[in-house]
Amino acid sequence: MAASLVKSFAGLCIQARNVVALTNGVYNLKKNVIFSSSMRQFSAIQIKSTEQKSLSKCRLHTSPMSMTTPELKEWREQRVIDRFYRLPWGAWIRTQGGRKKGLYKRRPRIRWKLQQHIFCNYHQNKLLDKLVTPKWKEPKYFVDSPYEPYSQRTNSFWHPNHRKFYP
Amino acid sequence: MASKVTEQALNLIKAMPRVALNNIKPLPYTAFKKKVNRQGNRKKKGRGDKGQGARGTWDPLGYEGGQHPLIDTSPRERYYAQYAVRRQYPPVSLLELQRLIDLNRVDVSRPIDITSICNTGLYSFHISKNHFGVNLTDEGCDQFAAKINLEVQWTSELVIAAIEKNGGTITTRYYDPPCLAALYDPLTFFKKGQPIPKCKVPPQDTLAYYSDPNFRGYLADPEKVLEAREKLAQKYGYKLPDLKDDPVKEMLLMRKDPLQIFYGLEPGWVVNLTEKCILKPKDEDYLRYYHTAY
Repeated sequence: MAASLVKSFAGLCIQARNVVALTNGVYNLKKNVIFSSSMRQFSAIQIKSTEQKSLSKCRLHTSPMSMTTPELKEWREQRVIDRFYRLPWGAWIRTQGGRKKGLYKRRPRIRWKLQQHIFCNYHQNKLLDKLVTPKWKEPKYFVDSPYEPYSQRTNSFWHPNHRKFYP
Repeated sequence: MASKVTEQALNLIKAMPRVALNNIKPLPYTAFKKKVNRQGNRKKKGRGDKGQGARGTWDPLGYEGGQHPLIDTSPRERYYAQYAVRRQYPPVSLLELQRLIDLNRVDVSRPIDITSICNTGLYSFHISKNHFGVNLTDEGCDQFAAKINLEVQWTSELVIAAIEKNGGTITTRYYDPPCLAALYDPLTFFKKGQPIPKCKVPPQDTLAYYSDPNFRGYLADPEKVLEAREKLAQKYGYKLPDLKDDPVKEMLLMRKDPLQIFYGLEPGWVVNLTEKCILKPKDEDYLRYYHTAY
């Protein structure tokens, strides 16, 4: 629905400069009307730079990665969340071994294939689920995540793609 | 009158410590049930006959039966890098928002912000999980038909177009966690009797987003926001409704100050719920702190 709207209007996209030149007169009329009385002027924020600065490259993990075994021993497997990513519907994704080795002697198709992130299988998913705390199994709501398109599964009995019931 | 002995006894009892869990013990004649081995003389203790279960020699967690483990073979990829500092925005779709409006869970005649969305009882977030407010998603953008003044924490371009097409206005606004705690449940916050906090400036990596007129950031220049409204209307091919002759123009153009978190209440004020009044400070140092941004 959303995608179709974007596609249909992509051809109508107008360059920003042209728009300003076309409708300059319209703005002057409205300029003084809007945002004059509504904003309270008891503060003044001066923004000097809006450049993005990357966050410090420290490895921060807040929640603990330990589990307890049936013998009530504490079990730590730090390596799981360093290598795997859990999608909200229970699948884990991973990278492939040997993806950086001897790339010069591989065919382009194989070279491309090695860079893909792939799903773990059923048994590996179950295994990895036991090694992390429930906190890591909660859905994450990052807005700029590249894995957002894969966060919902469709055409599955356990994950139906029909809408919620809205009265 | 009580005798001397009774008086002394009463004084003695008064001086003694109160009866509590730490200084009571069972009465001397209390009979406890004798502990019986109900299993009799069984040797296997319910662990079955032989094997790993009986001997307690299970495989360690993550053991793959002797083959080279997956953790070793798959290379390192920092999927969860900077997990602790990344902000999360739990989503609300336009379809859900339309449903809240249709069921009268939110009042359209007033500006809608995160407090009114949380008050519906159909949306919640956790500050301890690094949740920073509402992300309004584009599901149901064709069905959306409401004229509202909305304030959310994150949106996309399509959502802005869907709302402005119906004559509404939208702003994206950043709140720091203490402010979000007050906005999530204002009643419990006012019961504490603390002054209303002032909102901080957004962190460095989101400052560009919240001062961007294309995303209707609250720190953007209002004139540039007007231009961006026109541009977006041309891009998506709809006619922008004129706000000038609108009967609810004042409601649609209500905005909070960058430091303000509640409509009609300034930072630094204290809301007294028992006497039903608002305490406004007059001290200059106090006002200087609450009226300047850091």
